[in-house]
Amino acid sequence: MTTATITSNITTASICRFFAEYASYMLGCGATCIRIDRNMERMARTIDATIDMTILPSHILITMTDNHTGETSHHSSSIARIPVNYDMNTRLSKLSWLVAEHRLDLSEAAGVFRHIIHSKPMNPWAVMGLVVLANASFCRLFGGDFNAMGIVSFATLIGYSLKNILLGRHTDIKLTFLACSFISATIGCAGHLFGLSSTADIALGTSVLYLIPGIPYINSVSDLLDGHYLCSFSRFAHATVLTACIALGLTGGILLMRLNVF
Amino acid sequence: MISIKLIWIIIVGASIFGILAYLFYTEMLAMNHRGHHRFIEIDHSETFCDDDDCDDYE
Repeated sequence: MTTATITSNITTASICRFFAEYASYMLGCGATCIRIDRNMERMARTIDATIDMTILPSHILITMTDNHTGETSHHSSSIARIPVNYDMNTRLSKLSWLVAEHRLDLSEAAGVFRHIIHSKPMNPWAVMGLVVLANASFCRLFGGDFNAMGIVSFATLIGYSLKNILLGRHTDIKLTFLACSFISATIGCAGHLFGLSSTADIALGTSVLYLIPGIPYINSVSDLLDGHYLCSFSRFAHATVLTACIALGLTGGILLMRLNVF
Repeated sequence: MISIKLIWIIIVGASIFGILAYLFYTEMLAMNHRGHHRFIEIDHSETFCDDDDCDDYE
């Protein structure tokens, strides 16, 4: 297997910085630690270097050692605060394969990386439509009737719009989840209040499902199995806090509407 | 029961109104930015100074 060496115009420090940013965006967009490990190792092997990663709750520390010269470089990067984006995740992973197959060198890879992280996300209205359909489908899966699906669709539409607006204005995510779950739960109570559905409990329960942080929970289990305990507990704690906010909002909506569901 | 229904209508109505008002506001902002662009002419040869500083430049 042929490997390139670090050329003089690309320093170890600049490569280390690229790897730190790459790992930061991979973590931010929802990749598991094992995926980041493998991608970084794959790219580092092409330049005969060794990468060591320390993943902290808000930062990532990269140490890169050039096996040829023994030169080391360290770089710390804060984890990118971006929404979970599996399209970005896939494209960044594909980038690591392009580097590993010598179809791109690292300086070209850095340019492609910039292009990927600055590319436009999917149309938010299209995403909202899909989320509404998905949540209504969950309601049906749990045995809700068509009226309950309508209530859940409306609750998701309003709640998700509010979530987009609040997150767009950089409101604290915990407060956003609390507010959105309260509004969605209140709308979800329409089945009980106005007698619109025979499965009003299912409409109420599924009205906040779109907020559940499933990916952090799944990723925390994956990280736990791979031995990244700190990252695993950090993701689990974050997901638990968000779930608590959802529960508080749901409880607030139920108590305000004076429903006897407890 | 009627008061609870009223509270429901107020909360849901306020949410819908707030979201629509915000979307309308951002759309108006975007239209204003797209529309009337004015370039401010700055004469770089002129020296601008406060009253207190003008004495130093005269």
